[in-house]
Amino acid sequence: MIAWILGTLAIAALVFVLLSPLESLRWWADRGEREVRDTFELLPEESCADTDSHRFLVYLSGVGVLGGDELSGRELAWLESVAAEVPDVTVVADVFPYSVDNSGLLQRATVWLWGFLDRVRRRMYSNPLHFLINFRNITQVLVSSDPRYGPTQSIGLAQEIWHSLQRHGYVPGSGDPVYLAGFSGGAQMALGAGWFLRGIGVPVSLISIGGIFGDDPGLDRMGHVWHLSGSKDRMQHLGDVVFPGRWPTAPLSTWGRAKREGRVTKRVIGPMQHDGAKAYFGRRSFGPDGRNYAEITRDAVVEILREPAPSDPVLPAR
Amino acid sequence: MAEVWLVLKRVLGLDPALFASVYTDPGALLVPALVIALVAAASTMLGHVAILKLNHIGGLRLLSALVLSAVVMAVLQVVEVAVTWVVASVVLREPLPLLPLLIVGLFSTAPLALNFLTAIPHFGLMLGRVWQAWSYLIVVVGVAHAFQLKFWWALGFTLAGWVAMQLLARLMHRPLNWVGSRIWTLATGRPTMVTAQDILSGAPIVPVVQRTEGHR
Repeated sequence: MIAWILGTLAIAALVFVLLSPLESLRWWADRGEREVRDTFELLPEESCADTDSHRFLVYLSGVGVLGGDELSGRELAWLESVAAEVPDVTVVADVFPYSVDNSGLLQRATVWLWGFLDRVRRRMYSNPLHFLINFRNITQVLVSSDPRYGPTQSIGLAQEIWHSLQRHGYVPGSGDPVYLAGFSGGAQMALGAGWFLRGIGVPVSLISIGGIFGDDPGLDRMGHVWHLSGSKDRMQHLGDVVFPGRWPTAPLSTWGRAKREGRVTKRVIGPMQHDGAKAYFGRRSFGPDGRNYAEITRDAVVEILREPAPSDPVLPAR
Repeated sequence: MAEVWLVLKRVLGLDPALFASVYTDPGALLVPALVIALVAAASTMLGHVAILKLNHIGGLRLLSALVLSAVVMAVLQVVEVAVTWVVASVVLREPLPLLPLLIVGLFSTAPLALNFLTAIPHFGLMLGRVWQAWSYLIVVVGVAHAFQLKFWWALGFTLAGWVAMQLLARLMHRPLNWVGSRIWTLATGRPTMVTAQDILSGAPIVPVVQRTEGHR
């Protein structure tokens, strides 16, 4: 009986994973190609905020998030603290990275399922059922990292980031630098979208916060990649293992090239875990110097934002 | 169907007795071998559904593309086997029987029956390579057992077939592309193929600088 249940679950998971690229492919086939041809449309002026900022930080959350407007309290507090430290930087945090059209999981026909899982997560965290949310979003990270599906997924996400940047006052053609801050799987999504953002003239860099990412072509277009990690975060090593392009045996990969060109900086910022109260945005866990984990992460990111903006990478000949 | 399933399992398990019977009674294994190749072709196309989706292909055109893929796969398999046959016959100075070799070639598509799994994001690509290696192993083991050759001879002959195919692909690159494109257009009604790489190249993207002029 147990074997039967496990077998059924395994088949269901396999079907789920097999179908996972269909969201972005269907979007591309239905309207994505048309939208991109008109593309990267400019929003009407009345939809765009006025800002004096010349630097933008776009935050892309981890695989546990339900939508662009569903960030956790810890993340929101952390983003507020970053914005307070660097008031000249505009913080953008309303993009759902695991969708091509910014539709969160609570804005879909399957809202009943994701809403239920979210309630389970809030009330019975020990019940593993809620990890289906993570599983769903992880499949989108895999889609993004796959050279067959990734570009359609990433172009949709890039378009949403582009819209959001404009809503927050980014002036197209200004060349103002954009820092994509990706937490966990958000780092891979940022790399995928970064390729297209750079393609329309937006200088992009990646701040990976415990990020899990592959040797995405987007690495070629990142001005710089800062990989911030916690010493107790084992999950972030997944990227080193699962993506052969990140192995030392692949020096010619985009990752190898970025490292060779000195565009990668790795920093262990404290004893953080990957997720939960003792992770990067935790406010009740403290480092040796008395700062809480959220403050340590904030200070590391703020230090990067205060550095001169990275110069454009030299694109490899294709 | 049960017989095909049984043969499929034995091929995947590199059963020496099965490959020996390829030489003694090839006619009995021809139909199962053909069915295996057909299943492999269909599975391969399922694995390539992404490309078809990107090209807005559905319905009858999808079916045409499936048939086209099966035909192309069969032709490639036959050519590779034919080259192996020529090399082996020249080296051994006696013509090997062609039908057993053809059946081994068809058998070698058995791992590709799992090719639908290559649609799995990211890991599917790795699985695809494993299936290819498995497929090649079947050819080597199959040739060795079917013709009672030593493993290294079988490896040499099959390797020669593989190298010849690679050379052919490079030398005939342009005409093959032209023919492939014409056949694709006939089968699917789409003049060109848009792949994910094309999207990545940024070709359809209009530079913002051009569009911003006069906008703000």
